[in-house]
Amino acid sequence: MRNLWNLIKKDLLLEFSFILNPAASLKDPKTRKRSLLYLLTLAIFGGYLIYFINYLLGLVDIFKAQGLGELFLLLGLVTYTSLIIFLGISQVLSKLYFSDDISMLLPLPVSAADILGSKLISITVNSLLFALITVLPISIKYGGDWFFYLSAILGAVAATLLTISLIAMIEIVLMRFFNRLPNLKSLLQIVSMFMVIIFVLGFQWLMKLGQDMNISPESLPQLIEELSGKIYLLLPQVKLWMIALTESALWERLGALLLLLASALIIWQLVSRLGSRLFIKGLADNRVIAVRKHMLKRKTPGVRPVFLDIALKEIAEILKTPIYFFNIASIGVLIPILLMFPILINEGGDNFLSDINGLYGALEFSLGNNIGVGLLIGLLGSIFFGVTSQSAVSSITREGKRLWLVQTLPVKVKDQVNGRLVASYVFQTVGILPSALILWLLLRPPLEMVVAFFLGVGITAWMTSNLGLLIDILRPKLNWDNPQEAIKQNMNIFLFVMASFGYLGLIIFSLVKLFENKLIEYSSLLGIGLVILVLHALLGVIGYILSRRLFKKRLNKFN
Amino acid sequence: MIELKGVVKSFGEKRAVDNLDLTVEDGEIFGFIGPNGAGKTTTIKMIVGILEADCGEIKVGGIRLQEDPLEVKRMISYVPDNPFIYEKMTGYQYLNFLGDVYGLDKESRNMSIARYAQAFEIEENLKDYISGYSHGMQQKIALIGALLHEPKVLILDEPMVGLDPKSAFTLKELMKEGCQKGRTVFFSTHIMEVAEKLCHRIAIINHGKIVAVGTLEEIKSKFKEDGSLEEIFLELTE
Repeated sequence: MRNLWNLIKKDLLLEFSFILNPAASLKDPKTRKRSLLYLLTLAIFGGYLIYFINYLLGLVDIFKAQGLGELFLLLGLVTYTSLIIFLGISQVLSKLYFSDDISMLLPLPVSAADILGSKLISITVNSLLFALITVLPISIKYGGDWFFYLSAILGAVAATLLTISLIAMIEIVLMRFFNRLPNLKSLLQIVSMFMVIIFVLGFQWLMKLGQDMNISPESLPQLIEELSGKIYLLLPQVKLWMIALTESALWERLGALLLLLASALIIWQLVSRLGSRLFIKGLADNRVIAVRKHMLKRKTPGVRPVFLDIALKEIAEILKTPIYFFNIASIGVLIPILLMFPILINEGGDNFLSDINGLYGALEFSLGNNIGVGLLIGLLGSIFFGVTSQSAVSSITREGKRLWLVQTLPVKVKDQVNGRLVASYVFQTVGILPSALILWLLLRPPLEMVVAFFLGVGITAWMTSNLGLLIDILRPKLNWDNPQEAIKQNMNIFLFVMASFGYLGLIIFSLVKLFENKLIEYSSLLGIGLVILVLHALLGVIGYILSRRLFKKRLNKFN
Repeated sequence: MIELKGVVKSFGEKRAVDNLDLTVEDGEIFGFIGPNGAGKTTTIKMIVGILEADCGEIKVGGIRLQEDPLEVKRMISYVPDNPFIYEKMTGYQYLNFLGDVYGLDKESRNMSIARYAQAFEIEENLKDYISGYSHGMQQKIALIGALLHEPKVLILDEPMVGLDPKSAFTLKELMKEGCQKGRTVFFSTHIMEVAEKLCHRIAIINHGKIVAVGTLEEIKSKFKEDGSLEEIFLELTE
């Protein structure tokens, strides 16, 4: 028990080090930057969070006014529990199987059961943060007696611990079978990222189904009962939690809460004790590099230009690292899917498409106008769809602790810069293709418009790649421990994307205002397109020259 | 103190440790040398309980590791070749965590921290986050953590890597001092000079098998009377 507590204490200290030890956090430059970035992110998303909570609280009032308060509470608990299941799957895997922490703990005189038990508690504590923005505000707004609030808090703790423990048990058993797969970590990251997409699309699809159902007020009670029955069958912890919150008899509520707490503690203990041996076995095997029986025969490559080698290295690294792949290479495919799916499945989708066609149809078609429209869509659209899929802005950052290789290899600056730009160019151009295809299918534009579109895409890719590389040369983030940190906690990328969107917004706003005030007409589009084209090309040239000069100057100052 | 009998560990088709027999006595400084990939780290990881042997028996202090791993781990301290330390903890927090795990009382914990922090000249940095430490400082804090509870057995994987000469000297002195008090030290190294000067006995491992074991004189008399340990090592591991 003593060691269990020590391990929990240690995990909490590591998870919330900035809050628990702010002085040391601010003293170390590495953690200081990270802490400030967290604070900045919190400040940015804090507003959205407050808006979201207010929206939720508004919904409580609406549901209560219609006599459906209890249903809303149930939906709140279900949403929270689903979120815990969804996030718990990756959290449990990462904390149990892909953390260096376990290797550090194994030689210490602490039992595997204590290690596993403490990990489940720390994941539970992390997950409970979501209760703070979902269950807690809903419960406070819904209101009740003292036992209601007690049940809301203890119920959240128990339901979360129980859910996380069950997920852990399933994963521990599964990892005994899957732990020898080659590149397991990458494979699991890809699976979990696909799950995120399926979750987002599935949620939108379910919303659409809900909208399509014709529910009469008379059939509502029966529908709620059926829905509750199905939910309770899948998530019995939610049933106990709901009884503790909403039943009228205190003894019934007390019984449900005690049963929920006892189940959580028993299952947590069972998983910790019975699962520990299986966990350690799966963990040890997981650290064994799986042997590929059939090695691929590779051709010896011929001599290539150095810049091409650097470009191919960049491309291969991005394609083989799931975090890079999803954040750079696949974003061009994902954005159109995520944006278009809700439009297409909803009734408004047809209207939206006809609106687009209407706008397009209203154009005065002529060679000059077509080229102008194609250019503008290419120049501006590729900023929206392509800027996140360019790799140059993280090119130096991704070198991380391997930077010594870049610093010591006899490679010309020109090749270093060109290679990274070529890779970025490839990703950005390929990234826009799905969006271009959708546009082409919707609008069936004339050939000159398509050619002008790709000219616009090419010039914008040239500009953003060069400017992105320049930013990364100026302040690369080299001190990172995993690719996620290199990409997700990278201020360069964040600022670059924000600046690009700001620029895009400014151009569109200006164009709309100029049109509204009749200062420009359709016939001016070609001229405007050409001006922006020249601007992008010039900015690209300036970025390129500065990148080459600064790369040489800063190469040995990167550290 | 440490006894390995018929220990085998395979990774896929590769046998990393092959039927290994080895005994390390109480109060002995034992050097474990071998080329890269010979099985040194795998053997060490099995002794400290990170890896499980496929077959064979490992005993520490007369206790079978498989039977009572916790009791064995209470006797052992281990520092890996590239120690992972909690970067978001300060040096003090990390040492206190280890003190808690080994059940040290406040007084003896503070005394040990003060003593070893002074020996390794790291007192000034104990309040800082470990993420700000250099590789050598991280090695030092890992060593202090290992020595904190005065273990009966100290197992070190390449302990000299990353240490400055003064700290390496301090570590060697602490190893000798510990042995005088009955502590067993088992360490792997690639530095032949350290093994020659510091160890009571040495084992050379190659392809998972022990190819030579004994005192330096015993090994020399068996393989090459007038040769250095380096020459013998190169010959045996060719």
